[in-house]
Amino acid sequence: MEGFVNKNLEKFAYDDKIVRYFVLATVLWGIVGMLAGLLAALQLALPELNFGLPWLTFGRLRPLHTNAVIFAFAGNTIFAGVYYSTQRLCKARMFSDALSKFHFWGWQLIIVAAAITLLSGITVSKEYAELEWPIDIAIAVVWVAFGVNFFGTLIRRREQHIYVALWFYIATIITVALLHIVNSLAIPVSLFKSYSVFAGVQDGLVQWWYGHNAVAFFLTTPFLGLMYYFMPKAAERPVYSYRLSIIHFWSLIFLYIWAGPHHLLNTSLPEWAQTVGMLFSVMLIAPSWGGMINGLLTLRGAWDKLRTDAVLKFLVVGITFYGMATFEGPMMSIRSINALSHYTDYTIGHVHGGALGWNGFIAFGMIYYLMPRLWKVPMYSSRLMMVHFWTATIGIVLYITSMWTAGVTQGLMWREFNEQGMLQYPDFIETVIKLKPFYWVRALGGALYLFGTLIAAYNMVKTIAAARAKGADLSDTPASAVRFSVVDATKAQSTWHQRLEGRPVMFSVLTLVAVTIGGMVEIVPMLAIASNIPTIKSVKPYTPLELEGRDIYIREGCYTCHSQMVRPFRDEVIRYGEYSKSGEFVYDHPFQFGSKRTGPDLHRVGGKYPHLWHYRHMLDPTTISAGSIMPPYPWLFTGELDTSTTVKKLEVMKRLGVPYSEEEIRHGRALVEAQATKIVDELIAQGLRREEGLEKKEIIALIAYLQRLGSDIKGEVK
Amino acid sequence: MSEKDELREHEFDGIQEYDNDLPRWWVWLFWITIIISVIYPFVYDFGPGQFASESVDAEVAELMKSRAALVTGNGSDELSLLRLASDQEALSSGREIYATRCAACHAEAGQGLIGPNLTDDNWLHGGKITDLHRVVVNGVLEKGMVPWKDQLSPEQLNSVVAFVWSLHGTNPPNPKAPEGDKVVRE
Repeated sequence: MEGFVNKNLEKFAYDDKIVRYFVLATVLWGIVGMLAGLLAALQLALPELNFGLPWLTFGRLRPLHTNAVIFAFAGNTIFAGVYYSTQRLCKARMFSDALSKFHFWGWQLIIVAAAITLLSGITVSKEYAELEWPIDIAIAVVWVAFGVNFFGTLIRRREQHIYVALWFYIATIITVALLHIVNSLAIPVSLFKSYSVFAGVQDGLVQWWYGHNAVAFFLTTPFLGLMYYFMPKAAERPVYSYRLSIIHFWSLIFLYIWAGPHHLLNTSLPEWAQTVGMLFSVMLIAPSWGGMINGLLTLRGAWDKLRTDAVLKFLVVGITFYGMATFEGPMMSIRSINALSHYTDYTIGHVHGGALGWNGFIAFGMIYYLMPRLWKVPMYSSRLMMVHFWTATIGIVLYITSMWTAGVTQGLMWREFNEQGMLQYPDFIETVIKLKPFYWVRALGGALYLFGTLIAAYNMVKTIAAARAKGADLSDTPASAVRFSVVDATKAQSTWHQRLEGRPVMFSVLTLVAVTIGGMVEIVPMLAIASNIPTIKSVKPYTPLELEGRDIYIREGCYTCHSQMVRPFRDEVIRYGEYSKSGEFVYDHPFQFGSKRTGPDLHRVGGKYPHLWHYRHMLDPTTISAGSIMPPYPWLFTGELDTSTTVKKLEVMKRLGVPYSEEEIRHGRALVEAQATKIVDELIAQGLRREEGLEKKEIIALIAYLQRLGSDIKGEVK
Repeated sequence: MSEKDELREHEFDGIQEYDNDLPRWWVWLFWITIIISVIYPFVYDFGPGQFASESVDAEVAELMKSRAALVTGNGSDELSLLRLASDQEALSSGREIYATRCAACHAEAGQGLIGPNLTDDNWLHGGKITDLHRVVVNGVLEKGMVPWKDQLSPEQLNSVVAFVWSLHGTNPPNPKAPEGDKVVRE
């Protein structure tokens, strides 16, 4: 065959430049996101660290942190890995260089826009989907561009069958689009403000269908895809089991989508939906572990490489954390366990086991694998890779163990009764003060992890410098392949799944079907069947001033630390009051259930204290509650309430089904003024000194909202 | 687990795959979770098992009943309370409770802040020590006075009432203006 040239052999080149871009963006945003996380963590131990700046306050910083690590750090990781591996698995260059560039720059711009708006308090408050509607649209556009680029490459592939990594990429691209679009449905009030089309329990269900599956299809499936490419590559061993890949892929994507309601266990979400969420979560253990098994057992016969190979170290420990987190998740989805763990730091520990351990370590394993291949020189220092590995590992261990302990401690304290039948810790603050040492340990763990990332960045910079110095050839990697002929596609001995692997479009359609069923079964009845949310006659819409106050509550991210959901437990009924009913939230666009109680639940706070209590508390929480870690909000006392969109807000709410009368809408601003004046008068009566223009300040609107919370059914149900 | 380690024909960018059987324990694990998921609704959703939302009212009622049993004859009659108001031990425990629970609203020395002055002659809800006890126990919601019966034990309630009673006439600096009716103590 010497000298024989196959005239069907096509020559092309992989686009490595775009991969380099995504790799660099990954590390840059990783540092930014982790820094934001570290600052937020330190603020819980030392609230003064917001430096009195509104935009650095925990309520605004926390969404920035979560968005940055999920969409900027993990997002760019995914794109780097997908662009690198898809081209090689398809034996084809990306479909369009222009789309690749558009995708890259579009995504980075979105991240910048997200950072600016979130810190400015522009948010819709739905976790991991906080961005306002113009950015949501941009995300959809860029994501579709990514999809076109990816599927275009699949269509133009020279490899007949699509490898399991690509299955996971397909599931990711399709499902994230679906989740993002449905959960972001909203009606704009202005360029920077919109209201979710869903309300209360329905909004909560849609949000957590999204939120949970953001974890599933943004932090799990794409990373499994990366694992399936980089693990066998780095280990130079075959994947353990092809048939396990098939079974765990389909079961994982089908089951995952149902699990969202486990974020709303023991809340006023109808019990049937809670049961579905819980059981599908439990059934997820095996499909998740299928991925872990296939990853870890791929290393059979090559375990010795772990000792010296930094890439494998990161990948293997990452997969192990995946196994741990996907066992922990289903356990936390059991009603009774969730009763203890929910709203506490336990959840924070859980997600960081996943984010730092699984996503972070897969990301760095991949980056250390890619660097020498993308820049054509060995890593600057293998010592530093090991230092990074150990620093980060110790960081994770400190982080998750401190948060587990904090969570269980607080959960037990909340529910403890003494022999007289009284709460042992009736003051919420007692349980907070107890956690402060754990907050310091957590911050130390996070700092170590960030330090590891900085070491990685340094190592990378030095590597790139070496490539420059050496004048390494960074032009696109050439490749050649023969285009498969369609005749091959119908080999007699192939199974149905193998045939499916030759038909990516059909594959994608089936994936879409698999991921649509669960959401439909849960969400459609919740929207369509009235009996799911029994009407409570005494529940009325918010007054215009309360609505404005609610928007301040959203802007300041109060939901990041306070729930509005009293669960039907003895201790919560004693501590907070009547447990929350689904019918109470029907006008809540968007819902404000919250997912964490760094401070107490607020659903029954309305009427519990005098206005002056709130006034002084917002000015300096420690004067009311010694040892409080809530930051002061002095800017609410100087900032004037913007009522320019009040009428528009009422109109949008009416379109969403909130029964405001034409009269109320027309006189929206007058109603705001009248109620504000009344509250100020009451404040004066309670002993506040009268100040010029107080009724125009934002604090008055916030007090109006807080005093309304959960008060519509007070005295009626008990 | 049977590991034949047979390689598949295919190769993707140099990646090969074995076609090993699913690990037996994994298959069992999957089946067990599925079986649990089939049984659970028949126990809870359609069966005798109770969700927290179905049992909580009874639990709270029971708690209240057992607490009520403890509360009868707890020394909160007028005479016992007045006697407590000159009992140094009760007063010092009352002072501690006051500092952590009451001072935020009534100020450190009882001169009033968010809540009214507790040192003057005026009372909003009656000037007898039993009135004071009633207000501390049940609160006055419309005025923002929190009920303390769920947070303090009967003994603690008594001693904090005794302590507040003892604040009368202490004339602390920066008093809040008097509110309510003037009551002359007998």
